[in-house]
Amino acid sequence: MKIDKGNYQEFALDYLEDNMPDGEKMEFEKFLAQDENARNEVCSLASGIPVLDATEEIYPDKKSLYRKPSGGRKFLHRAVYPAGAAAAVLLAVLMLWRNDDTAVAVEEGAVPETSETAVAVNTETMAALSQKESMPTEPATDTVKPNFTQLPAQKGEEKPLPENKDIPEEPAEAKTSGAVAPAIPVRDTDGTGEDYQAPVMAETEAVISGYMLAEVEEDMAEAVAVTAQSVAVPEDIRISDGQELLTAVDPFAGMEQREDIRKEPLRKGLSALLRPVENMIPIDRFEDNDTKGVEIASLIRITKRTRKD
Amino acid sequence: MTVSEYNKCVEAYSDNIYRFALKSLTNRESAQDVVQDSFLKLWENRGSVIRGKEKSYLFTVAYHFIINLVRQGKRYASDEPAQHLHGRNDRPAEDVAEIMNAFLDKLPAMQKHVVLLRDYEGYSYREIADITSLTEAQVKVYIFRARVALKKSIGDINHIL
Repeated sequence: MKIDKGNYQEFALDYLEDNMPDGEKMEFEKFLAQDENARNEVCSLASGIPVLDATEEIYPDKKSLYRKPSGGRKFLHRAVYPAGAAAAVLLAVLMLWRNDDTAVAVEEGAVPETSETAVAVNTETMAALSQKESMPTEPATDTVKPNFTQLPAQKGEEKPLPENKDIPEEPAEAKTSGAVAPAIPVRDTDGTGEDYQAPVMAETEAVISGYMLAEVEEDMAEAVAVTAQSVAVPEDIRISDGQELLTAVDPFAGMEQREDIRKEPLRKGLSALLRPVENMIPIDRFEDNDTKGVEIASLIRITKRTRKD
Repeated sequence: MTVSEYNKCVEAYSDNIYRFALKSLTNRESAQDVVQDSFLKLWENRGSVIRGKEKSYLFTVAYHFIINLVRQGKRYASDEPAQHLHGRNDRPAEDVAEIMNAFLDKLPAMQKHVVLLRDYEGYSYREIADITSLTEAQVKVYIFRARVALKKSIGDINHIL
């Protein structure tokens, strides 16, 4: 590049700081020899280049510039907290539901057999009763202790059956008074002539057998509620020989009334338990031939096998 | 850039940026604003700043803030009136630095900026060119003119590099 009056300043510092190649340095000196003003400027700095001394300045508000590294963690906590709360609520609901489901499962496993037995024996009983109506009632010579081993154990509220000596004998007219459930006499299969009335326990079983067709929302609270309202009908079931549970009524005969009874507690059952989390967790209900249940968050499916006889 | 790295930049460069802005603007409040805005810009663009180039980025941002303030005329709202230097050869050598710093305010803004970056921060001509968006030749010309002006103002001094 040719050095002239228009561009010599950009080479001057390199020349003074001795950062110029030899060929370029010779050309620059050649130019300086020809231009007096340029030579004077460069020579003025050749004796010493003025350099600023750095003064020390302290920025007074340095703390305001610093950043705290806690923002991300706070975001993580905020994100995890509602999820954790939702999980806790879901867990609590599941625990409650499983408890209820266990209770119902116990009832389910027991009640159908009882109901079948009851229905089967009921037919036999009706046939026998048709023969027995013409026979005189013999006085009791021996007491028969009812055997409740075939009765399913009920969770939590199993009540001891009364001793046979404490069970009042049915009035004769009550034993032979028609086909309506409370009035139908029970067959005296062992010849003792003494019939027993299964009071609260047997009635509870019969009522629970109705739950076979109940919806999934049945829970322990419902069972307790229904039982509490059904206790006052003890005449449905008789125990005659200590081996069989006999009932003169269709265990499903009172379903309509019992459905009415159940409606109120059903609405307050699982629905009430799930209501607090329904806005947070999608809850779907499903039903097919054999099962009913709920599906929570498309992850957890709680099924209940339904049996339709 | 992590928060830790950013805070290290604050610790390492905030005083330098402040000094550069203060010498350029001669106004403490404006200089503090430049520092705040420069580090805010660094934080906002921390994901795109090349590692190891934080100081250059900060000075580039600060330089442009300063240029904007100068263009808006704020540099004349100084709370520290510049001590105008009257060229005297009889000043003691220990006052030379003070004289030069005072005379700095009389330099054109561009010459002042590049000299500050060169003498205070030790940037090379190439780096100053990158910060100021000038060519390297332009930087050399501005610095040469500034040196000549300083030399003429303070006379023959002993403070020589």
